Amino acid sequence: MLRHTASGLGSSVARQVSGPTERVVVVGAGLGGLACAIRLAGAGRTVTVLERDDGPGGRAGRLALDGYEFDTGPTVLTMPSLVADVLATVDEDLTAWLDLTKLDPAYRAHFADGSTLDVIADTARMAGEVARVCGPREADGYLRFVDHTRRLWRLERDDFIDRNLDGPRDLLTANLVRLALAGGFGRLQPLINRFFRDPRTRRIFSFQAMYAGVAPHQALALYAVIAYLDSVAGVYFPRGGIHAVPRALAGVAEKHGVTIQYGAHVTRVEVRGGRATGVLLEDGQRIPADVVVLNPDLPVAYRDLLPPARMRPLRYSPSCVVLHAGSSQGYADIAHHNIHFGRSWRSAFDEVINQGRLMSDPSLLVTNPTRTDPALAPEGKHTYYVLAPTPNLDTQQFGRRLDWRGSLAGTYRSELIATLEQRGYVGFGDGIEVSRFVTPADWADQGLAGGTPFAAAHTFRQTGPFRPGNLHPALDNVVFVGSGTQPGVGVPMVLISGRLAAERVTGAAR
Amino acid sequence: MTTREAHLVELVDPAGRPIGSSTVDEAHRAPGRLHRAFSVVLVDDGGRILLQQRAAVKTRFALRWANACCGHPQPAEPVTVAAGRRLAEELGLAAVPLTEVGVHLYHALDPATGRVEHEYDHVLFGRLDPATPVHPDPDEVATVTWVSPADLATELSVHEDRFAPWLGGVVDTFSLRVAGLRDS
Repeated sequence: MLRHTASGLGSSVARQVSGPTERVVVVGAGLGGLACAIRLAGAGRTVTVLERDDGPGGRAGRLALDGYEFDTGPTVLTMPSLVADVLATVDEDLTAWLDLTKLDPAYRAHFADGSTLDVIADTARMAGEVARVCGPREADGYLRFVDHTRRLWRLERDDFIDRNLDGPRDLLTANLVRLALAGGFGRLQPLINRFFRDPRTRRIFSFQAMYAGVAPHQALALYAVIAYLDSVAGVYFPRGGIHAVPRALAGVAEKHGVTIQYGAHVTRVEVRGGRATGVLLEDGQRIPADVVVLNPDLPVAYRDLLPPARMRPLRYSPSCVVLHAGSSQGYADIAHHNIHFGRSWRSAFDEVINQGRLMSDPSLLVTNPTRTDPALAPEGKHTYYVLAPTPNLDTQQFGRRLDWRGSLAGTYRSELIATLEQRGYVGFGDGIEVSRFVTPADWADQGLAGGTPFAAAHTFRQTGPFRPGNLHPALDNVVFVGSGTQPGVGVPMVLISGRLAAERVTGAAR
Repeated sequence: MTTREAHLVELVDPAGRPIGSSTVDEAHRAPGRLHRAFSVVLVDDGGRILLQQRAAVKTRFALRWANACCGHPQPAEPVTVAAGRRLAEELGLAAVPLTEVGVHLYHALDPATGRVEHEYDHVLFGRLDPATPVHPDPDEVATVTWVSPADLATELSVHEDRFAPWLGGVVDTFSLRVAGLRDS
């Protein structure tokens, strides 16, 4: 009685936009918008990208200060194959557009007891490093962890990430069953604790849950794949910084017929008879469209560009402050990426996520891009990108939110510099020649909901088929792309969102 | 009334707390009384799912397709113990280790008999080697078959009426828990 379909892929055909799809307007030249635009151009559509800034990138932007160049958003690039996949849709080769260096080590972890541990993507060498710092039994646990997460990643990727999900039934696949047999459910921290005994390795392979907006003891075991992606699959740095990625995508898009207008402020999507008919610009221009793809932060796109619609309230990820510093000081004992763990662990997450407080003993990410690409600073100078997690602007303490527009920004900047100096960055404050301090208030001003660059948190109710969908529920031909929609947060997920959005227009290619 | 219809089931409140007992027969008369039940999902290493077609003589949802095995624990009986008993009785299977993945609460009317299912259904999952011989009890089970999950999902969306009404909810409970989208 069961009809056996030839396809073993999924349960249903993903929904698509209705009506003609010849002329597509993409609002926003972020990584998601550009990836989508290239795929649509490759599928024969006429594509116009409208970007309010004077260059591409969105969150992956560029800050230039007196001869120093800074990435404003992501600093870690994993899975460059996803960029190559986008370029391959128009027969372009990644190596012709980006000069990538694999970072070795991917990270250097610095612990409060003064010890350091290098995270190396080469599994055999990493096992040696873990044995050196934590002993041979811990190294054995690391190797078992790699086997487990590699399997998890393969099972999750095809069926749950790289595919449009319209409902829970779409999850019912053979890989889901295999995932169940592999014991894929449960919490992240207990899973990590099964493989690791040393508190230092436990931190190295679970802190990534923060990227998904959840604490390791609350996150799902599935998020072990984020640790897999950056600590096992490898971290890359393009010459010119991460911003070179959107610049390359914009170059490829234009070469293949996509029109990109910079400085184009879209004020709203024009709607008639339940369909988008085009977009309106601040200067009064109207650009007609068969399909509109929206790359602005999803809640802000709903709020500012679309007709009023009920949206369920979202819970946002924690935010962060970033100190960009151009400096005369160099430090021999650091790597390209450095994580400085504070003494506290569980309480640090709790402070930022639940209590709406700054970390009392902060864990910091310090990136030193000039170590890999000296051209990002004047001769002999250095660039630093210091990131500290903070609450987002929705999280309250005693009914109050942190006020970043007042004196707090200056105070916290000084505190962070003092913390860095205590943790080995001697003379950090004195070495600074140019700097910019970016706070949650600045993220909000850039149009990011909740004042966070990390979008809606990956809670149960905001992940997979429950994450805000990439098809507008009422307007038949409006599609979303970026970290606020499916599949989620991070450069790899955003590049995949470009593919999923394009498939809503053209249908799935497979 | 068959003997099984005279067995006792555990009545529960919507939070799953026991509030009394009733016979199977009474609990399934309209409008139905919420009682504890279990649904077993058996899978193989290839990712397939075992389905049973309910026997023609069943008083509810006869000849419809359902998960490997369903039933009711006696009052205070652990669901995994009851499930082990029913797997042996219905399918002739020896002990299969089972893990609970969640609860599926539902209400459904059998249009053919007027009987009602209103269950607090514990979803249990286990692995079965497909080479294991299955001996269905003809009074309970017409036949069994292994299906691919994708085919099952397609078929459920196209021919819902061929399936027991709880099967969709049972597989969704299983999927959401495994995909990490629902807590236990």
